[in-house]
Amino acid sequence: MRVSLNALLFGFLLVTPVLAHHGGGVEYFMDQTKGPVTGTVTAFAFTFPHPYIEFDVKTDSGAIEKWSAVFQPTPTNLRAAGWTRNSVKPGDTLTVSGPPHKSAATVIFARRVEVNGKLLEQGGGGN
Amino acid sequence: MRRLALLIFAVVFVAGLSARQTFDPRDLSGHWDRSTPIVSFSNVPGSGRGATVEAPFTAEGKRMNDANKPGYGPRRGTTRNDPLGRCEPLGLVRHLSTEIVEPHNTFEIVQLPNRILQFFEYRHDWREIWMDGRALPDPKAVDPKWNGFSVGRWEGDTLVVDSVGFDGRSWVDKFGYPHSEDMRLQERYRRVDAETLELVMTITDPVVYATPWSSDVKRMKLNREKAKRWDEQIYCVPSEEFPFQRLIQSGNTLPEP
Repeated sequence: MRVSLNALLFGFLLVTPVLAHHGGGVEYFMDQTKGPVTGTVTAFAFTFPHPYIEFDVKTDSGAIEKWSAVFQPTPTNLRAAGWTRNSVKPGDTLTVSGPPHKSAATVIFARRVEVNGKLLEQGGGGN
Repeated sequence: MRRLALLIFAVVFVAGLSARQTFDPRDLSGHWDRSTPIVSFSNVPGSGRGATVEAPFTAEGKRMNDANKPGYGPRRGTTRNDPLGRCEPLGLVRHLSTEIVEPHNTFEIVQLPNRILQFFEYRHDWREIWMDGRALPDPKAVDPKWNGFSVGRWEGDTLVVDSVGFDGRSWVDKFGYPHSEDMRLQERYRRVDAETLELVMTITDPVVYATPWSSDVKRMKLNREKAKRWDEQIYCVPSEEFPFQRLIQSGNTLPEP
């Protein structure tokens, strides 16, 4: 059965909305999941274009690695899901899992986020 | 039972008809959210909507297009030079495409006696359309502007807006399609019902495109709730944008002076 390229592309976009937009498929291995990674928050950038959390992760050897978890939704979309700029604070314990960045080993796409043991839902949106 | 069903149908039909009819087609005021999903200027390859047609590039246009490194579309890559990521103005065409995902894919139209103003939520930008019958300036005689110079007129119930004098550094969409300072833009707006606004744009830019190039039909829905809310005030803040671009290693930084 021959399938047109446009039909394939349209079907692909239907099931992978993130890849229809920018960040996902370009910077991250969207078909992989890294983590959960746990660390201590050092900063929360509740800003456009995409919020992100910076956190320190202690390795097995005791060294500190600087990690970042980047969100898909914009601050507006996160706010609609109940977030504020104070939802994450320095000193909080962050546990995050999601697709790994393709070239930055300590950057992760924040698909699932727990702060101090509580899952924070993200709603939808973002590009 | 059949009579009841017919009665209900008639009531709903008349109510719907009334809703559709109670609007002034020359009143375009309000917040308009894009409802058609295309994020590119037109049905170009990679836009994922039906039959696609590449832009009618000239040789120079193709060269300019190749020099643009987008983070979106079929040519997306990890190394970019998108003005969007550099806190540079998006330019009028890109604003009108409302390429940002919801709820930011929206603009507000305000109609004054002699001007129409459009406010673009994303990047908190705006433009003016002069409706007082003035002529467009000679683009050679003015300094190019990111949103150009616009005049409008009514053709029946279609608002026709012509613009010239564009800064050539902006892209027409997030796929990286270029334009030059010679671009002339025509927008045609039509309020087709109380809730729906349609926009078609045509670019005439002989430097970049061998023939006039029209967009797909951009369709917007009136968002009455948004009219009651505070403006988002989404600016591009270099101290926020640039660390993010560095974080995701987009290469989208300005060259050193």
